[in-house]
Amino acid sequence: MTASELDVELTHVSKSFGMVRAVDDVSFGVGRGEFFSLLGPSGCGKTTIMRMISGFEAPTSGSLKIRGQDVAAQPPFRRPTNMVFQHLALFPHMTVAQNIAFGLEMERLPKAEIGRRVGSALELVHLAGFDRRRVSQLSGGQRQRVAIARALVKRPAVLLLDEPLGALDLKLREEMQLELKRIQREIGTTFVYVTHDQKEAITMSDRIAVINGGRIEQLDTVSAIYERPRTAFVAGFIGETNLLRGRLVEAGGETATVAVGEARLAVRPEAPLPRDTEVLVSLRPEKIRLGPPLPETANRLDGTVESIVYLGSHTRYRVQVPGVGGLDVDVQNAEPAAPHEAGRPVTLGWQPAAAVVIPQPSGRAE
Amino acid sequence: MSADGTAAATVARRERLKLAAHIGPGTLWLLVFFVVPAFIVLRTSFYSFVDGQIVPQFTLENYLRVFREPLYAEVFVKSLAYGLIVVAIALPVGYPVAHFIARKARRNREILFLALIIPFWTSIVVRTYAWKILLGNSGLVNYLLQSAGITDEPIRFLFSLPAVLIGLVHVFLPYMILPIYASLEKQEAELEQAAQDLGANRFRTFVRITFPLSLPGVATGCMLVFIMTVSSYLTPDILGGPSQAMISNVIQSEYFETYNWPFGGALSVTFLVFSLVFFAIYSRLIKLDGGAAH
Ligand SMILES: Nc1ncnc2c1ncn2[C@@H]1O[C@H](COP(=O)(O)OP(=O)(O)OP(=O)(O)O)[C@@H](O)[C@H]1O
Ligand SMILES: [Mg+2]
Repeated sequence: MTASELDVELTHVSKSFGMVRAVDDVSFGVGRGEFFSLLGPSGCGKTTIMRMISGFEAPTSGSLKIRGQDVAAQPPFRRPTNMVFQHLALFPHMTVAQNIAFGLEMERLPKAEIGRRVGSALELVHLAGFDRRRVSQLSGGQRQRVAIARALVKRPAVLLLDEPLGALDLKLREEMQLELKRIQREIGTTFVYVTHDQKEAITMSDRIAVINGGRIEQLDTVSAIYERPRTAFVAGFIGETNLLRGRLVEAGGETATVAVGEARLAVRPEAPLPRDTEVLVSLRPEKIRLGPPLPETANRLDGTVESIVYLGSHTRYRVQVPGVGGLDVDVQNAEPAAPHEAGRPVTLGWQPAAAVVIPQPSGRAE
Repeated sequence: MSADGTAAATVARRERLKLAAHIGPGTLWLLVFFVVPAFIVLRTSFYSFVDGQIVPQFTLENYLRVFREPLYAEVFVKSLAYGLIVVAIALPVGYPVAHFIARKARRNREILFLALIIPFWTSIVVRTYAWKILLGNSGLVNYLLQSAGITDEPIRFLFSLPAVLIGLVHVFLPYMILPIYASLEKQEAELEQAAQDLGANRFRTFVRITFPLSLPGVATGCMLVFIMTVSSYLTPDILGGPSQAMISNVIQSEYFETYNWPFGGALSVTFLVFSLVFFAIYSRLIKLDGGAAH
């Protein structure tokens, strides 16, 4: 991606509020037409990043470009970005059409053009015919659509969405996720999306920046974030995983051996690692096979089923492995009855490539 | 089934008792101190007044006199005009103050707020007398004007229309500021930000978003200040004297100077009816307006 194709570009951006470093040396670029998500726990600085892009907050240091232009000197009302606010912030004293027309009136466009664009924005969000409704007469999902239409009708270079679905119930949330995705595909606008819900980020995004404590932990495509987490935080925050602490005892070639307690596990590190590196092995519950091991399975551990939780599409087993600890294992419910019982001995098996090796900085106090 | 019915009845009775406990004292208070006296005033207004004596004999003469003698119509109109003028001054003075406290003041917000509330704890008499001292012939204002050589003779501020208006605006200004402050304060901060995000500068944000959404507070403030001004008694009495008498002063003099309670009653009732009609119209208009604002 060349710099000219970047709609948003942050370079070493930091933001402090007094003693609090809310955003700490963050750099990323968002390409034209990309669906880019900022994902992280509450208070990690997501909203602060959005407010800096939209102009409501000035970075303490670093530079911020939108469509290649440094926007440091531009107040919010001059920036080619538009925001869908966390609480929507629809104007309660205006109708749906008036809300959507507001931004165009600020551009002093001719009435006829405003009318036309409001009409097509309403169509885009599937709200044709709602133009004269008051905001108070809309359902939660409809309000959501108005907020999106109001921002998109301005044809921004970047649409910023700060947890726009946070207030909706699960069903509506999932519906709106698909809606947003459809809208983004239809108009091709660059979306920067904030969420603390990893499922939401996975469903919608092209790329995700996982943020923790004001810093980017990992910036990658959705599948890379899930399959190849680079830090323990990312592995634990995106999806669920078993984290096994160990030490590299044998290095060389494609595979290496990690000692976890008494067990020796075959792993395949991304990059060659020296012997004696302290590592975490991240092993997703669905990548472990439970039951009689296939002959070629490299890693085998014997344990005892401790608990069983039926979860509809799959069943989660907690298996205690002597000398290693408890491991979560998911088994798809292809057949109605759960094939294992609590207290029974079982064998766990997985291939070296199924696990991810995360080197730990040496000497890190734990 | 019947047990359920009994339980429901008990619950219903408890609810009724709770309701009575809630509104009972207030209702009693209104009954004793408002409805009963109002009724007595209404009854007396139809009595005759013969040779300085109140005679319980039905007559409409008191009401006819209210409308016959132009003096009373004048006082009515004057009082209403004062009300409008004081509102017209208090609104542009009070709105920026309310806006400042709600939006700009960060650290000293509590202090400013306290400064607004303290006058409520101080008697209107005291506050009005303060103006008498400031505006008197040997008061501070005249002293400053004379020391500065702007005038040789003291200017006679007291017992004039400006003195009354200054006093009224001062005394009732908090009633304008507080409701406007409340409506500005409860506006979501995101609304103004959304307007700016959509391309509105500060001025247009205020005109299109902040101000329209504060209209309920503006309406309440105007209403309060208007009511209080029109029915004010102390301020015109202390700062205006007889020449600036408003309705309440005229009613007061009928009751306690000529002791013509029937006529005083007729004035009161007429005023009350006018006020009620006015409020009915006003609140209808405001409801339309409030509907637009919500
Ligand atoms: N105006 C401010 N003044 C002081 N501290 C602030 C301010 N805004 C944010 N912070 C602090 O900066 C940090 C990041 O806040 P931010 O709102 O960006 O988090 P977030 O990731 O959006 O969280 P959430 O998911 O809860 O919305 C927090 O510690 C917060 O307390
Ligand atoms: Mg936030």
